[in-house]
Amino acid sequence: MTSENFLQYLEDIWGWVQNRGEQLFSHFEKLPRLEMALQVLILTIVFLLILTLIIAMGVVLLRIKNNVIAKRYSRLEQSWEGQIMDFLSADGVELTPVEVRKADRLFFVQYLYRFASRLRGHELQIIKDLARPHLPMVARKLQSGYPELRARNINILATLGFPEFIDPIIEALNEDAPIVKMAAARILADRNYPEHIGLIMPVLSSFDEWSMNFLASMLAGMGPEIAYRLREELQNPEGSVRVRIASAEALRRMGDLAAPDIAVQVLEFGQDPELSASCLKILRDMGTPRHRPLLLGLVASPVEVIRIHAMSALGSVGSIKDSNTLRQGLDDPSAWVALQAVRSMGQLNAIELLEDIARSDHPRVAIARQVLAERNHL
Amino acid sequence: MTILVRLLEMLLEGFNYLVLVYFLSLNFFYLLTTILAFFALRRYARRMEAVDLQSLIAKAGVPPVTLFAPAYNEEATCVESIKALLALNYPEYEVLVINDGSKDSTMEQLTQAFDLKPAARYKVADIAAAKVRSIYQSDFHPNLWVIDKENGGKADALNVAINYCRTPLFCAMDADSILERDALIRIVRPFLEDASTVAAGGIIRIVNDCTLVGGTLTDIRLPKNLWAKFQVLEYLRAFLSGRMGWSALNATLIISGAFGMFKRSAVVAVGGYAHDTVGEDMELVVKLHRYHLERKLPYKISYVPDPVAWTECPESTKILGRQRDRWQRGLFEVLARHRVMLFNPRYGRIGMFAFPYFYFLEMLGPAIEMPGYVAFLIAIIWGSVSYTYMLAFFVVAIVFGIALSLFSVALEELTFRRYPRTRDLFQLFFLAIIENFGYRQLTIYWRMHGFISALRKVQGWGIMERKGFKTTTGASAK
Repeated sequence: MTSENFLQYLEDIWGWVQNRGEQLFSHFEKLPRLEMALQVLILTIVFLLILTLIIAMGVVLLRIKNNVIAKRYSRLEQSWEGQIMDFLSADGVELTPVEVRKADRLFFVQYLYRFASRLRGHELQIIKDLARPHLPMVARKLQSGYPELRARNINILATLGFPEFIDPIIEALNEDAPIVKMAAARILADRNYPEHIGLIMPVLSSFDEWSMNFLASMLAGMGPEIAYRLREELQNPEGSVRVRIASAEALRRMGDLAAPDIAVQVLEFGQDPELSASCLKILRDMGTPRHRPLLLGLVASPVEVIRIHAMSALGSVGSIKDSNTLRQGLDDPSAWVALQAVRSMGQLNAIELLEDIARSDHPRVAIARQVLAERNHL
Repeated sequence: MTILVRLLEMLLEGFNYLVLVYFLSLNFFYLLTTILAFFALRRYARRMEAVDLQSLIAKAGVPPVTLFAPAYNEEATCVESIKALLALNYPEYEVLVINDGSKDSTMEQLTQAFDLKPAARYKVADIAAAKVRSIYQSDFHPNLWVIDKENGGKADALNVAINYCRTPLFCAMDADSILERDALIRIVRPFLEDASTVAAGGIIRIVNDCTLVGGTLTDIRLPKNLWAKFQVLEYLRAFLSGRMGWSALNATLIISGAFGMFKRSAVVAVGGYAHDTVGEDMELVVKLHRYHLERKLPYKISYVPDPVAWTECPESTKILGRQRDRWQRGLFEVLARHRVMLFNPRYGRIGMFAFPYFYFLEMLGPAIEMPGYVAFLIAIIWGSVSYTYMLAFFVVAIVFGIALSLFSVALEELTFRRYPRTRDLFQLFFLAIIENFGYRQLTIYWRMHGFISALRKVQGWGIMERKGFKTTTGASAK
């Protein structure tokens, strides 16, 4: 059919539709109002009945299809599992590719992906070897229109084809879709590849919607070799506050001993309260008595979150002499500050003072009782 | 006399037009949310394929969570429910059971089953609530706490729990509900992916006649009781089509009190749950919207369709009627309290779209639909409307309702497939047809009753009877 014929054909169809439409309208125009409404209703009923039947049939067909697929996949999984278990259990057996039909290749790779999540070392390598012939097909699917599917395929490539397929994963860091970008960043944030920090840090500020715990956990997972970079970020007053907080939280999780000194510098400038709180958490976990003077100043901060974490850090690095300072926290307008102050007293082993408070008629006497109970002194 | 008759005729005709507009608007919204839900669920299913839950648990730094389980006369189900809560797949969480002055043996059952001992715990917020009698901690499960308080209602119990909550997020639920093992990690995901999330709701499914082993559902099936079966279909429609559709519009106005996750600081900022309404769950969500929109603060309220809470539904018309009456009263009270949001552009799509829908179609709906039946009947007797026309109109309404119900069943089949028996699938088809002949009219009647009760400012929850879960083990919580 030539393009002219095709256009003519389309025009004929359009003409027929117009003709029928005009006939229908003229039919309705001639009708009295009620009869017209009735006919519209009847047409609607017919349409809805057909639609209902189509939906019902669709559901039944979907059920049949799902059952058939489930049975087929279960059969395939059983046969693959047998072969894979043979490879995994026998030492030195030559690996022969598992026979997979073209249509089942993606499912096979997904199956190996699920399997791989339970394995380590040599066994994982066997699974990776079995997957290898099919991974270029997965890499091609990174062009899929759905970001969720691209993210899934990134995860598959990371688990079964890392580091061979690192290039498409690095490219994914420049994706617009946050889910794909994050999937790539989480994969690259690998303990065995600290050099990837140079790729991750520049994009970290674009994850501004993700929870800080999530980002910090990802960075900390890369291990102490990236600490130098995190310190640089934390120290950089021009840097994004979120990146600096994520760096501080990651350094704390890593137990980086150089972090407290940087935290002190940041606290002295005292910019963002959340950043200060993260720095105070570093001092709580890794601080020393020489940080006491700074903390004694911050327990009186006008910002609640700073007071809470300063009290907490003082409980770790302070001494019994600081109990009276902490005692003042019991009268703080914020219940969280009061709770933390008393907990810190408990940490400093100020048991007598806590017992005094517990016996007193202070309105927050229950905190002292709670802390004494937590420390088995009640 | 003729003028009076003519006036009555005009009134009747006007009312019939109102019913017609109501019918068209309601079904327009149903259709819209169903279509949006279809696309949103497909996207969600794809997204879940890209998420490795175990990796999230292991590496994502998920925040600690406190589960609130308010219990009032829950002796039939509380031990089994709490055992299930203690077996959830989540790295760090506490369970806070609030015994709201139960008159039955709830407290004794809990004490015995979990070896509760008095313990000290300090309040970290000060939302007004009834007096706490004692606080207990389990010897066997240090993350299980029970607060025994004077009766004050569910909202009061939840406020007490907020006062004692020490984690950044809390999950409010009913003590008689069973959460699936991965429910917490699934519902917490929106909080990880978007730090501005302040609340997320999960799906509620019906547990009647399903089998529970060691806190986990092993046999999922449709209930035997007809009323419960109808509710299964209703819940599919409400959660898979309705809430998913509204969530796709970023206009979630309801998170069920039976299962929702909240950011503690945001809830404290809005003053916790309202004591003076039976719709405290919806009121909290509306209040959160209002608080953030009025202050122009970034926030997100999501609905997540796969974290499941299984709950027992009423099996008698008496109890079901009370429940629907209460829901309608709750809706009325909440919408009336926040009516300033109605068509107020300050509240964005909530004020201009979601709120008017709930106000005119859900709240006032029964007051139009119920008299609508009567008016149509009068109109036919009067002879002002053609009998054939009326019949055709009703057939359209019924077939459209059936189509929407079947579409919800289709959404279930496309995504979660929780009812694997083919027999159950055909039963759902059958229920989609027969619910139009009696059940729907009954629910309208109960909602109308609730509407009138709300106008009369009737208070209280009414009594709910529980028959308990079907379990196959009697193992103790220890």
